[in-house]
Amino acid sequence: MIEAVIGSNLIIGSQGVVSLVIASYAIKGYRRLRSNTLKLFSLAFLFLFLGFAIEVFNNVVMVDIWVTYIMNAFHMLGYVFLGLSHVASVRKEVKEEVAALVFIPTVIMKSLGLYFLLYAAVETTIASMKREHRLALASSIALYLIFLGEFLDLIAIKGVPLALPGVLRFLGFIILLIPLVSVLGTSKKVEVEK
Amino acid sequence: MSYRSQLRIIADILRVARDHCDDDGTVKVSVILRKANLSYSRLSNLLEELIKKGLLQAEERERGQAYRLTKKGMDFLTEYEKFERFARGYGLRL
Repeated sequence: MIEAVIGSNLIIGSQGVVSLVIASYAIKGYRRLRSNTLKLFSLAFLFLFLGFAIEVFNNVVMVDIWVTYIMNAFHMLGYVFLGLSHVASVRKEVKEEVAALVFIPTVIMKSLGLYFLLYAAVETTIASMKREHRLALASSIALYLIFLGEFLDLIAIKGVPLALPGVLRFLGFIILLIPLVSVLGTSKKVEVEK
Repeated sequence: MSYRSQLRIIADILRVARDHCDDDGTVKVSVILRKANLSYSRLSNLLEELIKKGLLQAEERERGQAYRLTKKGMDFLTEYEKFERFARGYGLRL
């Protein structure tokens, strides 16, 4: 039982670490360039990180049921901002008053979050096809996996292994690291060449 | 034509100043207008802003003004291109 909790926390924790790494790089970009897209993208992963951190904390300390509402709120805000970063990437202005979504009921909020997550996944697929960008294709696969994990978690189909949503989400977050690792690798090469 | 953010337009101008400059390292307004695909009025405002921020430097030439990319401008462009690659990896545009 303890091993299962530790294992589950490790998986959730690693998703949190991936989110934090992506968020910090996006924040660095936002601070240097003041890009609206990067601001929304960093907020997305920052909220996801907070959600995972609360999830691990709650698994360890077992605070109360209301903590899971906060956790879900952060996750869904993360997905909403992820969708909005794609909106900002193709349109002029994005209103950011969506933070108020935190007060709406969990199921509606989760559905809305999933809608934005799927929107981000589809936009990423379109972007990868239009610009023939392999890394964006990897990101879109990652987002579909996270969406599938969250969706299975929400509807809880009979016969589907309980661990499956978590595993899909975990795989998705690991794949999300690929573009960042690739950019960091290229930057180092450029620095060496200089 | 797809939407370009202000940041992308600025990066396009700086790219032209870097990649299409003459032997003396400066670029004419006409070249920026053509390569960055901007109207004259929009470009004038942006050039003024970029000079104020120290990203470009204006220099007098026989046939009007020319612009030179400064060290600060080059650093900004390098940073922009790094984060542009990062954003593109996630299907985003800056």
